[in-house]
Amino acid sequence: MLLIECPWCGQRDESEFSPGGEADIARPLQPDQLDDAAWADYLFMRKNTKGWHRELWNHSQGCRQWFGVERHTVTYAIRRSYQLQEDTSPTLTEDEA
Amino acid sequence: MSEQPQHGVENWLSKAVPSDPRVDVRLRTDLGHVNVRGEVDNPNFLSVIKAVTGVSLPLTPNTHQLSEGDLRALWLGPSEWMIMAPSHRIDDMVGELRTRLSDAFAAINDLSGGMVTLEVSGSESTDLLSKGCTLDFHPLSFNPGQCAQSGFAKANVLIAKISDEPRYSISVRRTFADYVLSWMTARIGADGLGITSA
Repeated sequence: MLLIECPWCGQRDESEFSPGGEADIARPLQPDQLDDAAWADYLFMRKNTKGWHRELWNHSQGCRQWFGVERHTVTYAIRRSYQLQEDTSPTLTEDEA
Repeated sequence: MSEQPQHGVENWLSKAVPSDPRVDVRLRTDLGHVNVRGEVDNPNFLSVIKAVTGVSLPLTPNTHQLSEGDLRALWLGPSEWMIMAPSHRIDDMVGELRTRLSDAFAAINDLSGGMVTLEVSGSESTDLLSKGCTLDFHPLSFNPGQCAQSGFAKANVLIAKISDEPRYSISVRRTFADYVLSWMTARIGADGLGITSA
């Protein structure tokens, strides 16, 4: 069971959270101009990282806020949580992951 | 319009109270609940709430604030609070808040019909809470003035510690109240749970 740090509430049990998948996926600004392949890429294609991974979580049984977590997909270690509007650090590079 | 104050807990009001209960549950059917949403960087929002209710909304996460007349404001999120107050004050308060905040980006919702609050105290109350909830209720980490939303026996609850005795306030949806009380009875036994009404 993971112990996840909510940026507002502190460390809580994983059962209070809902996972939101990979972070840093921006919605296309003009979806009507995409072809089917590009739209499918936005909707369905994920990196499936082995290593450090930025992902979204929602504290659904607590303060109901969305936030970001950097979690290692092999060891399950969590090294950072952050509020989405405050995060200015760049996306992880391939090397970091 | 809200439900009858006893809705959801009426089956428990007539239960005999055991002679020496280890956990006391007081059904606070006299309390109403108001959900407040708004922006903390709007000073007008905070001052109107303070003027109408007498309480300053707590800005520190997971804390609550008591004010005169048994009125309590609890932090739910960065832009969301719960105000619990005696039922007879709710209608006027909601009306006045809505009027005075009509041009602010805010929402006032009366949840009295959907929520009920249980006050839990007694020598084994902390143990009982710990059995159903993943929060740490040790005095080193959960003290009077703190509150938290979490799961209790899989029901969504808002738990606040209101005194050192210890005494906790647990707000739960009315439709889950019967289940939560059944769960508590199953854990501690009918002779250990003394249920009274406010």
